[in-house]
Amino acid sequence: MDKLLEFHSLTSSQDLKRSDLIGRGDEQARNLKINVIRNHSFELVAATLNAFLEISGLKAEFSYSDYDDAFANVDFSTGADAHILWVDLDRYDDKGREHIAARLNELGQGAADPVIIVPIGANFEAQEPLFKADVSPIITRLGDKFFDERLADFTGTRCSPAACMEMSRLLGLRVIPAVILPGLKAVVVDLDNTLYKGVLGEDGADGVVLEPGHIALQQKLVELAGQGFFICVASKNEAEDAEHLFNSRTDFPLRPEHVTKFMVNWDSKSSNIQGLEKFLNIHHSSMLFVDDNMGELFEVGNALPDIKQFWASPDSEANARGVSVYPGLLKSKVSAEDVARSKDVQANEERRRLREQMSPEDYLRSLEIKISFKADHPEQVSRVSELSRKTNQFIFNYKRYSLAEVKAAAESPSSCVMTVSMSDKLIDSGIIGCLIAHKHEDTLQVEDMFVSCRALGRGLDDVVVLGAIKCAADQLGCSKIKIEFQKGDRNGPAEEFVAKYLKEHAKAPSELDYSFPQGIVEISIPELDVEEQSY
Amino acid sequence: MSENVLSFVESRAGLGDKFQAHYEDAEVWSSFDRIEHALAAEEEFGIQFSPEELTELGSPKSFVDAIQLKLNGN
Repeated sequence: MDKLLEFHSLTSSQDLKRSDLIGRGDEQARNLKINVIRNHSFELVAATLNAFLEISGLKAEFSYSDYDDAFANVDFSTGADAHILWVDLDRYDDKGREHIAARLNELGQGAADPVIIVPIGANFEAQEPLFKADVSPIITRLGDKFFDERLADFTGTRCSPAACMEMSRLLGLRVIPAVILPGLKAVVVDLDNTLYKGVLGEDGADGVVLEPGHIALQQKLVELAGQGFFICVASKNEAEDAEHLFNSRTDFPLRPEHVTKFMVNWDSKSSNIQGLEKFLNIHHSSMLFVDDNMGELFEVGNALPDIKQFWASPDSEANARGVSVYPGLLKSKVSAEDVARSKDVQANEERRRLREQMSPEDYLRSLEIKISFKADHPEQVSRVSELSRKTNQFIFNYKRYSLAEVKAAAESPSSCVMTVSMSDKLIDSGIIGCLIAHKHEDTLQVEDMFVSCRALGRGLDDVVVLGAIKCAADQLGCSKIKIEFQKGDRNGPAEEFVAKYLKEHAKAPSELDYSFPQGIVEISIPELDVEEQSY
Repeated sequence: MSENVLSFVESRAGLGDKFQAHYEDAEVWSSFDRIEHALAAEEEFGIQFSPEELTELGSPKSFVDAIQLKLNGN
């Protein structure tokens, strides 16, 4: 519980002291090597970073470039986990700024590891794959206290100690975890004294109070829902009371359509969250649980030790600030798949209903499923990289591909990036799977294959995976298949699949005997000039 | 001299039982440590050093004296 209080303070406090944070961090945490390329000093930021990284189970060691306004000798081949371009743009005139902006964006294109840019002093339009840390909210908050020219000769930066600490918080809580770790997928929130002040069962729907902090928290949840995070409610209340609350309190920014699943009953919170794991097909380590009751947090933490937790304190504005910056909730961009995610999972309920009413084949036919395979498509590079970094269950090797690595594989004549998209009459799920493979003589070596949890369990896993392998083998002209597979903590579904369908291919290269099922789903393989075939 | 100021500087110093031995040693800290100690003192006591005063900070004693001077309103 001490950690919950400490993390609440680190995420939400507006009067943290630098001196309390220096030297803090978790010795047992995963160690990161961060390469800082700079034209002003980063040391004041680095001094407090490990305190914030601790929430994500990380700690960092830094290596530094010389101060270089030209960014002429940038070396991204240092074996670092990530690079930070730490740039004061106010050191240049307009022409110089234009030049250096082009130079920095160009540098980002050549990096295999994530590159974070932290520009201060002027606006900077970052191009992918650069990940821009947006400091503008900190500038707005601190105003003229953002800079401290008095200290510049001593610290090597115009940024004040307070600004450095806030930028440390931004990098440590949000940006570095976002480029290093898989993001969270769901936020599970309590109702009473979390989304509003009061107890629904006692105060009634009209009696519970929305403070500005509750409004801000609900608005944040709406924003997260729009970015593809599952927002779920886990509350010990009567289900009909909760339904009436959301129907009658139209002043709630969070509407029922933003909530992927309500678990409102008198079961334990942990059992409800386990129910959400099954419903969403995700592991609890991808969830953030927000509750005001320390007893509930304790119960859930005991039963589900990998879940992330946030204590909703009596200070609702602090809670809104804390959830807003909680690690794992920052995305560099929102894809079409993100937007469709919640509706797709909700459609699974309809799919389950249909499946119970008819034979497996009739069920698949009734859904009017279309599966599309595309090879080496440049516009899909970003989604492939994102999916590789988010998938934890159906993944062969946990390769986490950078944009540059996906792009290189897509452009190589001896490699293939095969994406699988799926739609049915309920929803277009977009890209739900991807395979990355290389040709070695007559063998297709499958380096990794990953499938979104949303697409699993529809009875089409074999079509998605074996179809992708077959298409990639055809694309590269390979007659044999070799599967690389590494058992991890959570890729049991992929392990079962490999054991069932690809056991021999995991041992040695061998031919794949697979043809698409007939008359059940519509298969599209445009790149192979086999347009719109119905199997 | 305020015990409060002395104990703050001693706790920041990281010198353990060698604090007294290095009390007037201007080279005991790196330049980065010195600036961090100065920033911590500003934060702790709600004071602000001028660039000239920062230049003079070196030994633990100089920190104690400078903080005390600020607190005394000089």
